[in-house]
Amino acid sequence: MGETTLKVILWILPWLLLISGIGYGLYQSDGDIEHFMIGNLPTILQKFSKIKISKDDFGLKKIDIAGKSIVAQFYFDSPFPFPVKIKDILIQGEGKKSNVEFEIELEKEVMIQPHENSTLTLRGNLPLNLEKEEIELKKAKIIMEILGITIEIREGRGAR
Amino acid sequence: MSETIEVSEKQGDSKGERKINVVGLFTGILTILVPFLGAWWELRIGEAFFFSLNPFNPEVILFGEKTMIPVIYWLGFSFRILIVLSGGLLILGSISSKWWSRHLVKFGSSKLIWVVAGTFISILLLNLGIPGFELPFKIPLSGVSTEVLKLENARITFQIYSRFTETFWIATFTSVLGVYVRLKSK
Repeated sequence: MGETTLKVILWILPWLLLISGIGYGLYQSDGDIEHFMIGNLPTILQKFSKIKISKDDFGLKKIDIAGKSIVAQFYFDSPFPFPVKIKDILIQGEGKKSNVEFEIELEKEVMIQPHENSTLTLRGNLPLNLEKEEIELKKAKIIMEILGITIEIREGRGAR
Repeated sequence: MSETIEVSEKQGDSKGERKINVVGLFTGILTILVPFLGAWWELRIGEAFFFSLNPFNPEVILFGEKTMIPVIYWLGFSFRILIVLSGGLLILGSISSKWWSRHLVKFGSSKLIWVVAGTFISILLLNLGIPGFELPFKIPLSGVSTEVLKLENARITFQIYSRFTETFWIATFTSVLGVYVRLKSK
């Protein structure tokens, strides 16, 4: 074998390896170019794009007012296929007539397992003169942590 | 550093002289090992996204699910064979004194630098942003950053963590040695 032949072989070798590798991979994918190029990425993205939070997933279950104390229980049906930590929920309201404000807050962090139904308990104090008055919820804030990502959502009038 | 060791050997009836290129030999061994040392650079976004950049076997875990993209897997597989082969040829070229030894050394010593350069440019592009694929946050080359995305009524906060692993520095060191061996082989 001459020097030129060796040089040509060494020049061709990397390309041959790359082309053979890709060719064999394509053969392993049964010639399906789409699957070969994107693999299982669409399946994973589709699985997570199907997650939808509806109004029915979260709602008031029960509210107890005893003296100045108010305890509200909310249900949460997790639509997520991974654990969700509810770090805080804060709801602010006011008396419709008096405009006196009050707030209730999640008593402790709650860890909700995938697709689990959970009850969230919020507690607060009512000013005395609100006991018999119709109350209105004004603002709500929820802070949750999903896979190390903290999401804070604020809703209602004046929510920022 | 002594680069060559002269070894006398008997080749049939004639007494021949073989020069071992020690740096080339050492670089060849390291080159063969590099593809099996794992990730070169890691990127983590919260616990939702994990990217282990290994040019020979990259790994992406999205929401706890491992992605498998065949074209990337087989490209990495081909690179692995190429680098192992180049390390082997570098060793062969370094321990022999034939007319072809210089060619094997030149071939074997120059492949890893392209993989290192390509990988570093890819990481740099992720850091600087690819035109047309701009992210709403910045990926650090190495370190931890806290990003806040503000939407209409929501605020999303997450940490981005990235780091070059020891393997990247071993690969860089090996490729620099390779360039040195190549220059010396001229």
